[in-house]
Amino acid sequence: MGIIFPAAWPPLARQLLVMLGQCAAILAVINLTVMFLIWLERKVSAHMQSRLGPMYAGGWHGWAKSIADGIKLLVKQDIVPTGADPWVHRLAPVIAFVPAFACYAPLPFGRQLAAVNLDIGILYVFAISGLSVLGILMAGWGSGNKYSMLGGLRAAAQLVSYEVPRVLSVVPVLLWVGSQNLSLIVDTQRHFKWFLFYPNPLVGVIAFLVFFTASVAECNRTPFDIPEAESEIVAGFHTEYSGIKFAFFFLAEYAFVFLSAGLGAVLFLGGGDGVLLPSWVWFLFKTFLLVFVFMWVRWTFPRFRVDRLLAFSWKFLTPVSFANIVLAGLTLHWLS
Amino acid sequence: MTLQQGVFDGFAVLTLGSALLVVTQRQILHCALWLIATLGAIAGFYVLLGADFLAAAQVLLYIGGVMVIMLFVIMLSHVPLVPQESVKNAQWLPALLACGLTVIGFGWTIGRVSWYGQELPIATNRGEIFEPTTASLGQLLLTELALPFELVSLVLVAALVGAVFFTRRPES
Amino acid sequence: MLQQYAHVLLFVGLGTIFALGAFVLSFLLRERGHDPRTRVPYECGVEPVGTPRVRLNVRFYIFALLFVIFDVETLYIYPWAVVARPLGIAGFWEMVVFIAILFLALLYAWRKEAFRWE
Repeated sequence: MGIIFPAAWPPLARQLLVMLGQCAAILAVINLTVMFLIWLERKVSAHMQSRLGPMYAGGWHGWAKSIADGIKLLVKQDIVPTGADPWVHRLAPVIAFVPAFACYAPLPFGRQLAAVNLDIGILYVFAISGLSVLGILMAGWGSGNKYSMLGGLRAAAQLVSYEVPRVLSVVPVLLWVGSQNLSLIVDTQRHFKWFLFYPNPLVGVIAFLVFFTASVAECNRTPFDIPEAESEIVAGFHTEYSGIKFAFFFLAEYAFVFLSAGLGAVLFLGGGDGVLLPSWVWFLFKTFLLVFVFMWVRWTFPRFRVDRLLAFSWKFLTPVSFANIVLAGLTLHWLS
Repeated sequence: MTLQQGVFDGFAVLTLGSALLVVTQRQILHCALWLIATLGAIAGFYVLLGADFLAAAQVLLYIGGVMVIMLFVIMLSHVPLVPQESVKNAQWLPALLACGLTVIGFGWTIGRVSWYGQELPIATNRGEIFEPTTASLGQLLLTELALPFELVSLVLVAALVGAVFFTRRPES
Repeated sequence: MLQQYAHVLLFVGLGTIFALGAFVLSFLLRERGHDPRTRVPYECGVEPVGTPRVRLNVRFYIFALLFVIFDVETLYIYPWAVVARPLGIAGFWEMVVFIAILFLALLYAWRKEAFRWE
């Protein structure tokens, strides 16, 4: 530390610089990961459909495709439709992206590798990720387009509906750890006491499945991609978005995919717990495994109908997570 | 602590400025968006007071929940894209008087009370002073406040019954 | 604790600066379009019919209301979950009563067909 920052600097400035450096590092990691995920999604979907996917940009298997896309989106012309509310339209992608990034603050990328060690960790992530609904509603309203409007409302209804089982499904984890702190949750699962199967495999598996299903829905991905059902409402809330504004919606979407997979790994699969390799390698391995399952699900299942989609959350996932909480409470008292 | 004071002032300016914009914007959706900024700044105050759980609740519930309802209502009702002519109606003068009296009343009360705030940890400049609040909150809710806690569930049921009632389809 | 939240504030600030910076960069680099036809709202290639403010299904509204109600409930369950072990079996039964009452409410909404679309 003394090499990078001269000791003569006031401690406050040094501290601020360290904190800013951590933020910037995570921002860079997210951007690189998202670019990789977009490329991976194209390759995975292509191979599942007996195609090749991107092959040209950069040479080997089109590895530079996402970079090329990023540059293209940066220099595309900016179109604000005539009927739009210009500032609401322009700011919507920012409002969608900033929460996605801020959610990474308490996420432990390994043992003791979280940027911010928040005591209310899980609640913080759920509270902040809920803000992206606002960006979607702003996009739907601000674009001055029927499809955007309908798509925005559908997406928002879906996001709030699946937020309930998602938030409830992690309660067993809180019961077992006695804290919402994500780093502490990882530490408690050391030596393969992963919550997926450790105190009670039944509770763990149910909680994980509910969490995973709700997370897939929160990311607006098939089979829950009604908000973007192109056969019904064109491209949903981002119908009128192009260029850099579209890029930020895309960035936010994939940042949420990676975040959900990372949370799944931290809450149920022991985070950075594993043998031989450093903890961050294990964390990334588990997270990318879950990301692959996300993609697998997306390219395997057909789309839900919008009414069944919302009913599935309220009539199935929510009651199941209630029952699971009671079951987890009983387990806790049976154990002690 | 000067930095803390500066952050407090920033949140105060944000709260007051956005609150002013809430009542002066002509497009009702813009009013709602500025209200979101106001509520967010208030969550910032909660953090400065060491109430981390309350701040998260504010963000989760008010910004992510109540404001979504408001945006839904605005989008589902026929609000024209063109802004309204005026934000005033016939009652602006009585409303201004009522608000002015409230402000004076608050100011008078705040001036009269001797605040133990001078001894609050926020002013003592001792660095880390706040403890996370979630556990003590849970402890309190399920022991001393157990009855109000159970009553909350009934209040929520009443709210749900009302919600179902208002969105029911007409009997045919 | 305040230092942690200062860090969170930095996250929000840096995210906003990054997004706005990318917008400014795009503003400097991007192609300028002059064809007014590009600015017509997209409606599958034809001129838009009517206003974008179409009449939408009021069903959407109840999902937001239900969400807020169950979110409040969550905010009561989380503090319990954190101290469930020291509180013991009494706290557990208190929470079972709380959850049971809200589960009945969910059944009521179900019975009244609040989740049905048509």
